[in-house]
Amino acid sequence: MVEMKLRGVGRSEVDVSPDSQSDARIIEASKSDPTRFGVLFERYGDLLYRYAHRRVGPDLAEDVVADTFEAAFRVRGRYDSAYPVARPWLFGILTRELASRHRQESARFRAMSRLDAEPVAPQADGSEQVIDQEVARAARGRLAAALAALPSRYREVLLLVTWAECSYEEAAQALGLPIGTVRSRLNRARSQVKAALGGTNPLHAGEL
Amino acid sequence: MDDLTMLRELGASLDPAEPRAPQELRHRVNNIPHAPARRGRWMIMPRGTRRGWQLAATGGLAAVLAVGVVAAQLGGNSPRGSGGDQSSAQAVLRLAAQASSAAPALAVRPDQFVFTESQWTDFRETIPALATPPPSSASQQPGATSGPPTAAQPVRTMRWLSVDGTREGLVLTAGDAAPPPAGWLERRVPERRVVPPCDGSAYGRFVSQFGNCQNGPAYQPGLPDDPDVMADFLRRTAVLDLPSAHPRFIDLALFQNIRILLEDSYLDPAAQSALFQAIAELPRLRSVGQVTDAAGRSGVAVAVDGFERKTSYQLVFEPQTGALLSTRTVAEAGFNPALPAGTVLSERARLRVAIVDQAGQLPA
Repeated sequence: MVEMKLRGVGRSEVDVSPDSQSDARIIEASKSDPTRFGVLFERYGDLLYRYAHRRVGPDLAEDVVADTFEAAFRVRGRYDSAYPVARPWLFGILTRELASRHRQESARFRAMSRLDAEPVAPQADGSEQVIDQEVARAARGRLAAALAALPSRYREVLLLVTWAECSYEEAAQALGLPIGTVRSRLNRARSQVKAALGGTNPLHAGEL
Repeated sequence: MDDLTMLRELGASLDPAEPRAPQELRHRVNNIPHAPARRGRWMIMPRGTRRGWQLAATGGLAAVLAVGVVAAQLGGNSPRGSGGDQSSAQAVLRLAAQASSAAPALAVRPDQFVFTESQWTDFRETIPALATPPPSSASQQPGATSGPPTAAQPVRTMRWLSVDGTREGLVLTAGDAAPPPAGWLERRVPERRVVPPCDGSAYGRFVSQFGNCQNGPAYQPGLPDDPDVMADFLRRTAVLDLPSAHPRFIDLALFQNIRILLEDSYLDPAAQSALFQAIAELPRLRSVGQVTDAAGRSGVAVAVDGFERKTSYQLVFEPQTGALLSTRTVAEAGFNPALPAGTVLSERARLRVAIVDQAGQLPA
């Protein structure tokens, strides 16, 4: 038996070995045995928590993820069993839960941008490494400010793709959007972020 | 470095310290299939959507007996977070609500005063003393004991607050002759404090907690008698206090408003009943079991955990009648290393509530 591990931060712990039950079958089984629903948390709880932690921080992440699973449990009867993997479905619900905390999220990003914008006393003799760190810190502040300023419809797509490691198809499924809309929103989000960063070094520019 | 790489690095820098989801979250999610359907947090319910349980129109005797049964079930301190904690607390609150709704309503005029008499304890003023070296034997007061503080010094307090918030109120605080425990500062002295009137705004009393005014209406006619509408009212006033604040601060402000309603105000029986029912739906509600309040009375307590669960806010009820005995704030683990979990930080044990014509006038 060959066990497959999907790539990326968001997927490294997901067991998709061929003999494991699909998420769709787990959800179906949970209708008669509700305790089976806990398997979904074992599979995706860490990923969802990590994503929520990145977006809203430690104080809110736990509540957001708990509310996500509570909502998912409530509406599991409407899950479309044509999709064997529930990861996009769960990220879609998580996204809606995060949307209800968008003010806190934006405030957090703004706070990060202010912290990173404040000059700090040099820690060393002005070596290249220290300068790089300072440049990175300043860029991080501008990036956080850009995220705070992004319209939520762009931010959701951008962060699902970069922080949750969703494919375009998965992001489209999570958000209930056509894949073309996901592509266009991602492009617009990136344009706004690049503008906020003041352009990127053309020698290092890459594409997704 | 391109924008996406920078974004991914920013994301990685915001990761939790532990890759696994917290154990408490795991526990919460695992309990979802076993939890009764409920609102996950405060929200406005559609009109006509009512919680499953409603107060039955039963007589006072039934309420007394039922509260007694619950009190018996809660005998001893139940372990925190154990199964059934929340439902036990909800049962206490439902029956307290039932007892409240059976109480007679007082007649109130806008020009009168709400009189409350209570035994009041407050450790918070003295907590900074914990960080200082213990006083020398020469400076210790006679009779002071050594070791960590375990009991507060209750102070008798009488308050007269204007019914409509437009008249000067009065607070009388009696000093306590007993010496404070070793290591504690006793800052309270017999005090007579005039409470200036407020601007009369509808939410003046709530806003007053954050320094804008000192005295709002001590009685508000027309407070919701429906639990869902009461919950919405509390939520809105909390948000009014702390716009754009962290949701857990909102919960904190919300419970603070509950305390104000219960400690400094007179509530119509129907409004008090609705308030207890609304509290029963608060997240992080749990039962505490049997406690002794600041006036030395035995009661059963329910608690709502405060910000970061370092403190809890507790309501203590008389086990036979379901009457509210006291409201208090209790230190939980992690609040202060020098204070054992369960230490009462502040408490207001209510002795009398009445309506009088003048500030300073004692009820008949």
